[in-house]
Amino acid sequence: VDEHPRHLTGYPLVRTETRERLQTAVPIVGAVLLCAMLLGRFHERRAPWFGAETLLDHVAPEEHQARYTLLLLDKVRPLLPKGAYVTCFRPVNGKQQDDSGSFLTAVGLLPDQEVLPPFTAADDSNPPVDYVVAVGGPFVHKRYTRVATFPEGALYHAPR
Amino acid sequence: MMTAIWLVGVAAMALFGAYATRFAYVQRLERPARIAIVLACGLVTGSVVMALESLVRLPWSRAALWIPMLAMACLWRRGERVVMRGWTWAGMAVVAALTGYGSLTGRQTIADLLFFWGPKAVHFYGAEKIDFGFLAVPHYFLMHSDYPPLLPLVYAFGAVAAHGVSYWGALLFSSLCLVAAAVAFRGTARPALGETRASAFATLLAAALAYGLATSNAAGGADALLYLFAIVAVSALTFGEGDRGAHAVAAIALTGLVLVKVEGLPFALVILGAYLLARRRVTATLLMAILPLAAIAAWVLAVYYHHIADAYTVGQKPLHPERLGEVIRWTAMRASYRAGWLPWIAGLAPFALAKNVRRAVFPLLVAAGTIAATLFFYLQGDESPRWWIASSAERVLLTSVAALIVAAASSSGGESMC
Repeated sequence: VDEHPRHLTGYPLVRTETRERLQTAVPIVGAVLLCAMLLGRFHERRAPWFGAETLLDHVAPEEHQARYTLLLLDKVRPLLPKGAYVTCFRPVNGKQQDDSGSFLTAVGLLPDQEVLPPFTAADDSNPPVDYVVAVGGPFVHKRYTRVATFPEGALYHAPR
Repeated sequence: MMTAIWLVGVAAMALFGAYATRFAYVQRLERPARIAIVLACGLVTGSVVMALESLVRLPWSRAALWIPMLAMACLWRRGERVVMRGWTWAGMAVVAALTGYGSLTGRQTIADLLFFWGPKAVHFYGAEKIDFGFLAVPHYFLMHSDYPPLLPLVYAFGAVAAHGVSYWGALLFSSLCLVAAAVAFRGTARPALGETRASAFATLLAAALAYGLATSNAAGGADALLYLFAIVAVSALTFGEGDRGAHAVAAIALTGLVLVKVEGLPFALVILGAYLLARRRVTATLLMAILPLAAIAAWVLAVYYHHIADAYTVGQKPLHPERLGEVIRWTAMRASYRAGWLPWIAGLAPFALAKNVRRAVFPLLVAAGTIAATLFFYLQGDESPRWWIASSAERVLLTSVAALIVAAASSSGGESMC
């Protein structure tokens, strides 16, 4: 029995008992559809379905560019002395570029070092940073020498 | 192992919110909802304690953080026993498993976790304070130095237990916030809707949030926490009408809302304004506004004192009302969530069977107001907002979707609250 005054009720499209059941069924149908869409969203974001090397392994159908930065920073962290000045970027034609993503990621993952922006490894930068974490391609600079190489990139050092 | 310890450390912040169990309103709720509301209150209170300790230059040692936490835990009071039927949780459990899976396999990570939420938390933990020196470094301006600090504080609190910030833990924490939001909603809606229907709408809410979080890649950022605070506040005010305990819970949740993201302040003002319009309770609205406005005023003062104001500068970005048409068009496209607007349709469909549309006025006003506030933000600035809309509209509008589902639930309810 609908106990509510007529002016407070909605549109009486269906009988009261049926409406009671539908009021529970409709949100459940919506939830089921959304869960199905959610599974579809997860599915389009590439195999493997369990496990991930980095936080960004499956955020899109294509590979995220910061994935290799995460992998490389994990590997170079033990090689860097505390307090060293470091920068991180993906070199373009062997030179530094304004790569905020790699730089800001390094700020969070290298808390024991002073992480500076990529321009500090420019040809005319004086003094240059102690270490350059170059993701992907090689970094070319007359003052830097390569000290470690990994599949994701390399670590370069400039003696003071 | 570190991730598990970090998560337990963050979850332990709920103990800061034990005082909420003293509200008669909270005591009447089913136990999971009590715990979810206590978690929301604890995250806010714990963060405020951390900020105050930072202000008086007390470093965040375990003793400095855990002693006040344990002292506040002594305020815990048992609530009433509410019988629950296990099967009504099945839908929520499925959604919780799905969103947890998405987090654990890196399928919904937000890059902002790596770019600024994580780095801020790592450096706050290292400095054992809100490190304004770090925030003021000019090279780090892209980290949005003046963004409200609640999320980095929560992450830093977990780091005190785990000796470091766990980024994987941050992803799982987002999933936890979504589930807590749906659980809090279910508990507050149950007295008005009954267990079965409250559970059905809670499952819909959880599914919409989980889908939106995955589609917009928002795990690890502040959005999930924003949804938790917004849903706790809107649910308490929708279903706990007239109860002073509900007002207190809403005030604390609104404080969390303004301290978690920049858009939290306009959203909190929308919620307060909608409540005033729909319920005409001037005194209650003013009392609820005190805590959140004091909290955000304190943060803005600190921001100006340390010369890091950016998002909170007034009149810096000119308004472009002539762009309204294109802003609406682009925002509407993103609001489809690449699912034919399914989250909106799922929230609107129950209105066809509505019993009590008048009770839904308040959450409907919140949904409309948050959409309007979002569009207003996109009208600011000289550069084209297209990229901004593409990168944020799905996340920001999920608050409106949630308010719409709360409205749909309240309109299906039993007795009238009007």
